[in-house]
Amino acid sequence: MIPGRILHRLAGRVCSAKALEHVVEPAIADLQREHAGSDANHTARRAWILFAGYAAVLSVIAICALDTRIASDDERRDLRRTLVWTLVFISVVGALLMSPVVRSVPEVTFRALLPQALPLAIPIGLTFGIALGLPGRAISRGSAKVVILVALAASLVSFGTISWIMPGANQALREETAWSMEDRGLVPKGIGELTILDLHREMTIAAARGDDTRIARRFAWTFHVRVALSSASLVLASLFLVSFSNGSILRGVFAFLVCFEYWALLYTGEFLGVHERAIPAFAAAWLPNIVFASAAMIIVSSRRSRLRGSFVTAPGQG
Amino acid sequence: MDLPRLSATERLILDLLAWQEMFGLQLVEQSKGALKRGTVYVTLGRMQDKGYVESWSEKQPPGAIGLPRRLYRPTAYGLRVLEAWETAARMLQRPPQLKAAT
Repeated sequence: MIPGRILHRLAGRVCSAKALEHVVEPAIADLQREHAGSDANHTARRAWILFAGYAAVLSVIAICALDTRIASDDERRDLRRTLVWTLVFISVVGALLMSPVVRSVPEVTFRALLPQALPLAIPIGLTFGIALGLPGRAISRGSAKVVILVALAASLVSFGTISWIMPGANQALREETAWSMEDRGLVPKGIGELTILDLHREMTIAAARGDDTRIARRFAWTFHVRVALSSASLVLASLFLVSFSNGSILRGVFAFLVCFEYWALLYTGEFLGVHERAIPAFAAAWLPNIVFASAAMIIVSSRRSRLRGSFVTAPGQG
Repeated sequence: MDLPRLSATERLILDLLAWQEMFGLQLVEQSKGALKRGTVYVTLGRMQDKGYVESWSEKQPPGAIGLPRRLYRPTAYGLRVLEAWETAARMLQRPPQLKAAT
């Protein structure tokens, strides 16, 4: 098998023809030659060549794809700043979310806590990253596409974590705690330890039975809220892409208010959908996303109508 | 007149290529860690756009599989820019400070 064929196909889709020929293909060719020239008996060495080569080619493809979309050095600097702020805020928020548990139960491992903190830290970090990293004016279509792609990747990481990794880590922690107390029996899963597929199954069973108790609502809300929370990165990124304002302090305050409002709406939704059963579980879970996506749409449409208005009433134009 | 710019990485690449033509991976190996595999090809592409280096695909023996490797060498312009930068660096170097007489 010749390594690098899939990467070549991927590069063909995202890079310009010139970048493909002059930048990506040389990287793949060197990888192929290095792999072909390595000793077939040294499996570990060959695996390392493949790993290092693939990582290098992927990095080359990412840089070329960005170069194709981003026209100026200023835009590149803005995007780099956004990424750095995002990573800083994800780390800080993650640490803040984990610190109360670490302080009260020091035995709990970082591995068990991180999957719980990450799905919340990612959208918050990205919101602050965009607010502080991007300039307070409209950005180019290319930059906006890159931000949306980053938000999409963040949403996918959140979804994978909240749907499978977090329940697994929670269950491992429960078992570890139970077994440390000499209880070697089977540790049952709570709602926080169910994967997204387990939750979907419970929800389907409850719906087939016509069950609308609080427990059934809780299963449905938890299922929907995991998907909704994963999509928060995309929704909040879209909101900040359309609602630009001058001054990084103002944008930072706006980011804080948006995150606080998201959290408040999440709990309002839970109260209305699970405790009061006043609205469907789906609407309750998606309430914050619905509100912020609507806000983004209103901002876009009001800006368009303002532009149309100024065009009609411009002096000397009528 | 816009003076040609030469980053530290570009200067290193031109320095290495001044001795012999090389492939991207050879440059990484020869630089002893100063050049990274993930960025050397991008830098070489930019240097080619600026006219500092030129490249061509190696001739592959019949029956060879995979893509042909790309060889790089400095252009006469690239070498001139490198020389100009080295001269400028030498001229701008501060003379060693004389110890104040006590």
